[in-house]
Amino acid sequence: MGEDRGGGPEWLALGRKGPHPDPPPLFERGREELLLLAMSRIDRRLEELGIVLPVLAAPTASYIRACAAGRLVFAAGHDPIDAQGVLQRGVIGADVTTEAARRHAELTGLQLLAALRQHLDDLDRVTRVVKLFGLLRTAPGFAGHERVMDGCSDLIERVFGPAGRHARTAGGVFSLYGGMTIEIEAVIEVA
Amino acid sequence: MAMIEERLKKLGIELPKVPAPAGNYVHAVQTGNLLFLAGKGPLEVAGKRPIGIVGKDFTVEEAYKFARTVGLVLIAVMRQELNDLDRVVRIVKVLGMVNAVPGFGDQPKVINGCSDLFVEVFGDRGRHARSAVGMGSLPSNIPVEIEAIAEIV
Repeated sequence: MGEDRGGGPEWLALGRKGPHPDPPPLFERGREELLLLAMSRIDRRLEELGIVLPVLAAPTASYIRACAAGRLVFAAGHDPIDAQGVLQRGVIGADVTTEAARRHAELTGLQLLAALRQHLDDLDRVTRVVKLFGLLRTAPGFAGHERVMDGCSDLIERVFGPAGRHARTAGGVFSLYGGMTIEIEAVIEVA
Repeated sequence: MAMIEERLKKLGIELPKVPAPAGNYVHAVQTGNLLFLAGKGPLEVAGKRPIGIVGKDFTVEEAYKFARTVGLVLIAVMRQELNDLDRVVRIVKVLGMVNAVPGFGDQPKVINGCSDLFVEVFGDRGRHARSAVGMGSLPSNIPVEIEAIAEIV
């Protein structure tokens, strides 16, 4: 984590390791810049990536979205819900293509990130994404689980860098809640 | 010689090379005293990766042997991550998934292939909690996929 990426305004270098130019005095900065400065590192990263985390609906059954035990947070299975709040439904390998399902895996990853931020207040507390478990609603004989799951794994790695590299298990099932295409749960290590 | 390595030798078990992950993930992540292992598939048989459905393409006995080879891969991953298998304090939990025909009911008999191996190799420390389920499909159409959590020092 924390390795330098080029680009961006100089004052963004504030949060980086190593030598950096002195930031301009506070009074020279606009309100938006100051707001950005107050953001956590991962929130800034999300903004750089153009990622807006979704607003979460209340869980639909008797469970909570995340539960901490020591330094581990166990996140419940999350769903592929798009920015309009629409649950993505279908059978992967039948009426949903692998590439569409990959996008659904990414949407599910966004739901997981939103749940974690809600639970932790600050995503900077994530020290390692330990494991993902993905259940895909698939047609018999479907074999492209890894490609689909990479939609979520790639997102997690883009956001957290090396701390986002995780172990993973994926399998296909015949049915999921509401006929949705994918469900992903996660184990996270936090500070 | 390390205890578990000696045990492996005694059992005539040679651990396989760990196949590269098929997607953007790593074989295992250590957090505190737990090692979370990614789900793995069976080893090749006579140069061919087993592909197919248990209860249709494979019998329970064949699938038991596949599950045993998944166990070998998982132990190989543990050795790769820990350098020394004596650091395994306990196999905590196993999740075994069988690519099975609808109505299949012998998941436990299949996943025993992996569980029996863990007990052979690690003794009482290899005794674990477990779930064994039937799936509608598995990555690359493999017949068995198994993941594990180990307690380590």
